[in-house]
Amino acid sequence: MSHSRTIEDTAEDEDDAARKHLTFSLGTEIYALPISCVTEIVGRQAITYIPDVPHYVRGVINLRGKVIPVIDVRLRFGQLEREYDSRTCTIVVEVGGVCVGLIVDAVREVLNIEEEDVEAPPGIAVGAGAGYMSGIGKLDGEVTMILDPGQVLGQSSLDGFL
Amino acid sequence: MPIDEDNREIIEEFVAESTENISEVEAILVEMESGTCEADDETLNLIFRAFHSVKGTAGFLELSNVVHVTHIAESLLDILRRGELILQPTHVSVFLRGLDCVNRALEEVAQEGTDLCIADLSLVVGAALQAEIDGRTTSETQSDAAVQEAEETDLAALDPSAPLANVDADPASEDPVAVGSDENVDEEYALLEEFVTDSLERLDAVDASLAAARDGVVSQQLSDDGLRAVHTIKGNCGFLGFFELGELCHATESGLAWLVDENTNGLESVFAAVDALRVHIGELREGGLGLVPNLQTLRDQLEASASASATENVDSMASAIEAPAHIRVADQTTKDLVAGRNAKGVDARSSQKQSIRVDTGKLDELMNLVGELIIAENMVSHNEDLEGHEFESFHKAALHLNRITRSLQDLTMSVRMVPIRPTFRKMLRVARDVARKQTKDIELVLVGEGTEVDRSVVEAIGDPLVHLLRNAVDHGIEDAATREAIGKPRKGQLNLSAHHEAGEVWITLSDDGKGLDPKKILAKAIEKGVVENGDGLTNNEVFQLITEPGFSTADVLSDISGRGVGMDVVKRNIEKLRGRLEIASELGKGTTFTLRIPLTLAIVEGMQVRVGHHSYTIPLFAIRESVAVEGMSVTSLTNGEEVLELRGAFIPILRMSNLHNIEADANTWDEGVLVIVSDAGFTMALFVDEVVGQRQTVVKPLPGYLGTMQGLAGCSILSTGKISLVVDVQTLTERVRLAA
Repeated sequence: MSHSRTIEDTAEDEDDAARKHLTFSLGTEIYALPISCVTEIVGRQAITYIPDVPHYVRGVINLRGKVIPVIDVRLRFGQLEREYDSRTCTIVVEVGGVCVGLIVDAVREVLNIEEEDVEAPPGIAVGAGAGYMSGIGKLDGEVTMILDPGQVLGQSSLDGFL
Repeated sequence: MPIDEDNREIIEEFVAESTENISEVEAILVEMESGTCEADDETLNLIFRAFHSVKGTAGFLELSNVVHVTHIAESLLDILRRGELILQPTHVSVFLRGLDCVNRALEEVAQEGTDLCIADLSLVVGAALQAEIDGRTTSETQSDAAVQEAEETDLAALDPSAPLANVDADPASEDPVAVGSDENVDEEYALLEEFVTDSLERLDAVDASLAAARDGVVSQQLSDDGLRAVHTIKGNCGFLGFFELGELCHATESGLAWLVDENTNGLESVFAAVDALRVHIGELREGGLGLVPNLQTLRDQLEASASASATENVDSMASAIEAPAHIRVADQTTKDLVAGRNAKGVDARSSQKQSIRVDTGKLDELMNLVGELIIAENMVSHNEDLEGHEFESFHKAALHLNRITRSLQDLTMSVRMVPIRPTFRKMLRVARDVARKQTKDIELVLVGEGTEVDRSVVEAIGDPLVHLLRNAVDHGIEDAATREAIGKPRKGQLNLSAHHEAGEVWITLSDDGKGLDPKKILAKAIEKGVVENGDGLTNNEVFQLITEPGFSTADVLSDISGRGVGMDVVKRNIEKLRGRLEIASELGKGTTFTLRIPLTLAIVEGMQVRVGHHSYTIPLFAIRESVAVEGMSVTSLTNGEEVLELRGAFIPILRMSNLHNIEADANTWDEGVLVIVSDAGFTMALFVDEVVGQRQTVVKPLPGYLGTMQGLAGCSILSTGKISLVVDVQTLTERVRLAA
């Protein structure tokens, strides 16, 4: 799956951008998103509840006049709900023209993940969230699950879920 | 045939312009027919020009069928113009047919760039027009007979050389095309027209480079642009055979070339040359022959200034500066001549210069951005962080920002505003056609044609107005005999007016016909099951019943109205514009329909309500009233539904908290407020915690990611930055009605 790139200056930059990932945590697990799909990271926002949507869609937020939906990634992955605290962040991603905020426990850092450090997902996993991974990275002894942002968002419209 | 990208712009402009032209001519023709507008030379010229300009571009776009019709129409007009024939009602009819024919073609032109759909029609209409021309010696000839005859001799009518050979004797004062009927001439003319327009544009560009040079900005880029432009014109001049113009271009080119070397001394003479070019090329439109009487002088000046700058001789520089002044005077006389010859054309062109055509998409985008700006301004000026602080200079700055944003909003809205005139003028034609079919005698008076409304409103009110007008003529106005018998003037009076009132535009159509009979309407409504009984309904509420789907009081179905869909369509269309329709009527005296439409669609007047910590905005146009439940009679039905008894009617109650599964502060009736809303005649009550206030909001769509939202029209951002959901009253009432 290819993502729109924000940096296209030189081939080197492009390579660089492709390797760069933003990591965040849910509980003790570490996840990574390609930086090319991340537009910004914002703190906790006042969320406006929207009726009749899947439970993991928490509502909409006002991002400087732009109204975007927010997804609680914990709920999306079938994990337990957790109170939002001061470390809770919203990662705003844009995939295929769709802009969505992802609520995560905490944002960690931007990492270069080399191709040789990435392995394909084992494929035997059937648990919740298995389909959202594009690979597993091993960094400093920590396992990082690399996410496919398109899969995390699901369909470009939730009509099918209703 | 797919539209060539190069031609797309021309086609779009052609369609837009032709549509404008046609509706204007239509109105004039109808007025001429009814005698409210005199068929003098000026009017005929106006019509002629309209046909002519359609023909010109159609020729360029190879729309041969359109050219055919407009060409014959032009010929007939020319005969009329020269007084060889007096305008007859049959002429008006046949012209209107011609316009209809072209109008039909325009749709296809806009889509496909071709006019094949009128291939047959154009022959018939052309023949009808031709018949009028041929019949000029026997002016009593009935139009129908003439059409018949012409259709039989279809081909003869198409022979371009037949009746037109003697059309014009004075080519100098006429457009070259009016002279002959040969299609080659048409094409040549289109080519010429394009050359003139194109060249004038290029000369504007040259002027811009020259002006920059005068201000001391000399760049290779600018002079190259200028050179290229003049060079292109030179090439075209050569191609079209305007050799003197070509030579002037050549001289100008040399002048421009000198300028590259930072020699701005000869600037004035180049300016003069460019001016002369503009005048002489412009003359081509009025039949000029592309001659440049003062060519030699201009060329000398250019050379003189060029050499002057080369030698940097102070004396010759002086003469060079003096000389152009002389040229300018000479120029002025040429200009005066042109102005004298065709003052109107010049005026029209100079006024054209002050406006530009803008893609409407850009206007919409601009309006969106201004909406964003207003929100952003609100968020800054009323920022929560400021609470409890006194920042004097900040408040001043915020106030200033507020003023600018408001002016910007007003200006942006005004840019989108267009006069309602073309829409109104179209109604003249509609009224005429309907009245004819009904053999009724009517007069439609237009008031406030200059009233400006948002362009989206103009587009959307056309259909409703047509429906209302048809209804008024068909059902409202009695026939002449009846009118006379009851002491009304034979001629039915219709009034169509527009004016601004309190942020809305009010469009009123009134007639002096028989008026609406509330008893008859009520009886019909009960018969059709629209209402149970008429208890407690005011007359105005009864009148609103005619806008219910499937309702019609017309006893006889007619071609024009009576199927009961008309008023329904009217109401739907008006509601789409967030407006409302008011009906007032007095039996025997007449009926007045008032369309009240907000000036703009992007901004909505809404009532902000609170349910728990959730904020909702209900569009004001859907709200009838809001009432405290205290003292009201609320009944819970056995199936769990709750109804409010209000002035004898039972209104279903919808708790917003139940609808959206949220927690409300008000759980008992006396803790909250009921907002009575209605849509399409169905009334219901929304139970909310409290009414926060009324405000103007910019409605934004909800993110598409969320899918379609039942009962929500979108959202709007409050000054606190919080999001308020905009309630879609229409779907809510529909949902409740279906459940009931």
